[in-house]
Formats: sequence, C-alpha cells, structure tokens
Amino acid sequence: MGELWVDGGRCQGHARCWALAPETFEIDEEGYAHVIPGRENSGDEPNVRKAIRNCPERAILERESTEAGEKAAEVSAS
Amino acid sequence: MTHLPDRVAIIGASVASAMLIERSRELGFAGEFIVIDSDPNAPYDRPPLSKQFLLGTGSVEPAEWWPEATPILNAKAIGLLPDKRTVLLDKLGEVAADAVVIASGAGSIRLPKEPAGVLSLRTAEDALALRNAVDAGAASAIIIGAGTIGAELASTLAQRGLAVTVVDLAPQPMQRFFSGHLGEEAKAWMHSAGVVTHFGVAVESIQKTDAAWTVQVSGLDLHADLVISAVGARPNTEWLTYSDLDISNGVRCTADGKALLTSGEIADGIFAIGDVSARQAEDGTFRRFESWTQAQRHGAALAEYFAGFESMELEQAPYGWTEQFGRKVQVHGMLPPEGELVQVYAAEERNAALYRIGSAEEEAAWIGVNAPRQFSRASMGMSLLS
Ligand SMILES: Cc1cc2nc3c(=O)[nH]c(=O)nc-3n(C[C@H](O)[C@H](O)[C@H](O)COP(=O)(O)OP(=O)(O)OC[C@H]3O[C@@H](n4cnc5c(N)ncnc54)[C@H](O)[C@@H]3O)c2cc1C
Ligand code: SF4
Repeated sequence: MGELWVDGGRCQGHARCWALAPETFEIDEEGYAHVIPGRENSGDEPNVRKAIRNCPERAILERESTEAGEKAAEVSAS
Repeated sequence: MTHLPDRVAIIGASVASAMLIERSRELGFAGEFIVIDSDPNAPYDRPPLSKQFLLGTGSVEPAEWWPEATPILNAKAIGLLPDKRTVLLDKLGEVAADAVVIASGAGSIRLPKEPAGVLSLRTAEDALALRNAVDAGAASAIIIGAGTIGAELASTLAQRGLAVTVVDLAPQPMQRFFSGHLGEEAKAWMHSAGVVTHFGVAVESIQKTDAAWTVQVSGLDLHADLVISAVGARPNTEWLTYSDLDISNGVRCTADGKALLTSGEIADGIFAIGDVSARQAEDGTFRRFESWTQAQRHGAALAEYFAGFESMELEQAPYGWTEQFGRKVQVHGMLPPEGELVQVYAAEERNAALYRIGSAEEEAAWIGVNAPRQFSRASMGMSLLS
C-alpha cells in the first residue's frame, strides 16, 4: 500500500474525506484537506478506502503502491 | 449468504460500474467482468465537463480511477434477454453471463422540434463540441434550462467572456437541486456575473438565421451565437424496450437494485445501478437520482450484496454539490420543499453561508455555500464551534 497524500491542485474542499475518515484527514481553515502526519500509511483501512473512492475530485492519491496482487490480498484480508 | 456470480456483464463504463468492480475486487471477487460501453471516450468523470473542462485545453482526463486490468468492449447494447441473462450487441455478437448489471446512465433530453446545431452536454464529445465553438469565437450563448448543469455552464461561459442568457420554465435556478429554496440567492449569483435571466418562461421556437440563433420565449426574441439545451436527463433505457423489464422511468428496481419485470416480479440475476436505476423507496414510489455520489454507492452496495455483506452504503444521506459563480455549494440530505431554511452561519467576505432545514437534528438537511468545514461538521452532527 502506498503513501497517502492529497493533491492540493485538485482538492476542492468537499471535505468528504474528513467526514468519512476523520482519523486520517484534516481540513484547514480554507477547507482544503491534508493527511494527518503519521497517518500516511492508513490507506488500507476501510474508512480511508471509502474516503478515497468518495472524493469527487479524485484528489486523494497513493504514491507508488506495491504490486497489484499484493494490494488485493491485503485489502480482502482486512 | 453470498450471491457471487462467476461472470458479470456490465453495460456502461462509468462511476457506478467502476465502483462495483473495485469494491468487488476488494472483497475478494475472483470472477470475470465483461464491460460494454458505446462511448469511445469512456470511462471519464462527467462533473468536470460543465466546470474545469470548458476553461482548459486538451482532451478529457484519463480515468486513473478505472479499475486495473478491466478492458472495455466498445459496442452498443441493443437488447437484453433477462431469463437467459444475455445482452445483445450491435457488433461482436452477444454476451451471456450469470449476472447482468445495467449501468447505462442517462442522456440529455432534447427539446421537441429542436433544430440540428443546438448544443447539449452529457458526453465528452458534447463538451468538446461546445468548447470548440467557444474557442472559435462565439461571443454569446442562450442556455435553455437552469438546473445545476445549465447554471454551471452559465458560470463557466460567463467566465470565458461570453454574454450569457439563461431561460427556464421554472421560477428559479436549480429548482430541483434546492427543492425550491434559495431562488433569489441563486438568481443574484447569476446577475452578479452579468448573466441575463428569464424565469417562468416557455421556449416557443428556436431558429437559426444566417450566423446567429433566435430563441423565442414568451413573446420575446433572444439572439445569440450558441444555443445550449440543458433541460435535463432521461435514463438510457431504449435498448431495453423489448426486454420485459419495467422501464417506466428508468429501470425499476427493489431498494437494493434488483431489476423488476413488467409483471412486478424480480428479474433473476439482473441489476441496475446509477442514474439509470429507479429504486423503490419506503413509501412504495420509485426514485431516480442523478448523482455521482449515489451512483458510486449503488455500485459499492451491489458488490457488498454479491459478497453477502449487509451493506450500509445506501443508508447514507444523499450528498450533492455544484460549483458556480465562485461558489462551492454542497447539499446533505433530502431537502423538503416545505419548511423554512434557517441560516446558521455566514461569512460575507467569502460569500459563505450554511443553512439548515428541519428541526430534529437527526433528520436535518443542510446547504453549505463556500463553507465546507462548517457544512461537514453540521452534517456529521457536530457543533459548529471551532
Ligand atoms: C455536465 C455534467 C455535470 C455533472 N456534474 C455533477 C456534479 O457536480 N455532481 C454530481 O453529483 N453529479 C453530477 N453530474 C451527474 C453525474 O455525472 C452522473 O450522476 C453520473 O455520471 C452517473 O453515473 P452512471 O455510472 O450511472 O452513468 P453514466 O455516467 O451516465 O454512464 C453511463 C455509460 O453507459 C453507456 N451506455 C449507455 N447506453 C449504452 C448502451 N446501450 N450500450 C453500451 N453503452 C451504453 C454510456 O456511453 C455511458 O458511458 C453531472 C453530469 C453532467 C453531464
Ligand atoms: S474529499 Fe477530496 S476534494 Fe474534498 S476535501 Fe477531501 S480531498 Fe479535498
């Protein structure tokens, strides 16, 4: 699983990520999202998966994930 | 109990089906998906088409979110044999499967007697044609229909420097999206950008004269270089005409997406997700959404049903958004047309506001304007402070 980050150029501040996974995302004063420091590796948690999928701007990205097979195995085991 | 099919045929490669596939794989589904779409540009997200796309250059953004290793067959579905779970295609023959998922979305409604050359906006091709017309120097546009897409177009085209006129039979912009609320506010947003509006008027005729268009509304002649019809969408169900499915307004389904036959019985192994599906609500009526978020939830919920999960996806309150005239508008919940909207937060320097409707905190619906933080706190049932 890759390292989570929010692409500031895409994020439009819907705050869906924060609503779905407040333990991983925070919203700054302007309404833009960031990954809470230390939570960059929470990408396989169900709430975080849900946040990634629900971001209307597709702004939540993962840097270089491991091989696809491993990824599927990891997620279905969670 | 799981209901895992081995081979699933999906008609439509868009948000609803992407989520079905991704969520199924997450849940360990090892079977085969056969995805069919007639749009050579699919898959892509539609929300940017009325927003960023028209301001930029280049083609639609590639769908990074489309599930890996999932090819799409470029063909048009022209029929369905529900009892055989077989989809007939215009080319490449037919596809038989254990389950058929109808995810064919919706298409633009065209006006009666609409002349050729009137633009509309649903597909990447439509958006490109519109942007090309603007790039080629169109200086003015008449937008027929002030729903969210019409209003977003008005905003984007005004930003591109066109003189924009909006006409609608409804008394206000985004009548449906706002359930009749915030009409004066939404009009003021348009006017502040120089958009001319005519509400409560019917289009009588549309004519092309030399280089310009004339649109006649309630006795008034309007002229412009472009006419764009944005009067709404209707479900893509023509291909199901002889299928014996109930397609009165979309594919009628149970609340969890099992398609119904005209007899009222469930069509075994046939499902519908996204904009095309009309789901039965608790009061027995059927309701269709035109919502990116709802389409995704339908996809995720069906994957969870296949995997034998008790899905919570469809328990969530509806979420909708629009971006226009420098405002990011968010709606949480079902806005009742009756009842008073209470403004609970405002920051005028940012054009920000938060409105609540409904008193019982649990059932309250919210509208946020440039107030994502406050909106999210409120819709999560948290206090507005901090
Ligand atoms: C300009 C625009 C802006 C929008 N903005 C927003 C927004 O801001 N927020 C929001 O929530 N929603 C918005 N929407 C609505 C949102 O895009 C839709 O709700 C969503 O796309 C529905 O997804 P879907 O998967 O149900 O189907 P669709 O996205 O409609 O895709 C259906 C697919 O099925 C294919 N298909 C149809 N019939 C056949 C056939 N017979 N054979 C083969 N393939 C077929 C089509 O080619 C299409 O690719 C917008 C829509 C538009 C057009
Ligand atoms: S959901 Fe997406 S766009 Fe919205 S705040 Fe989170 S990252 Fe940004």
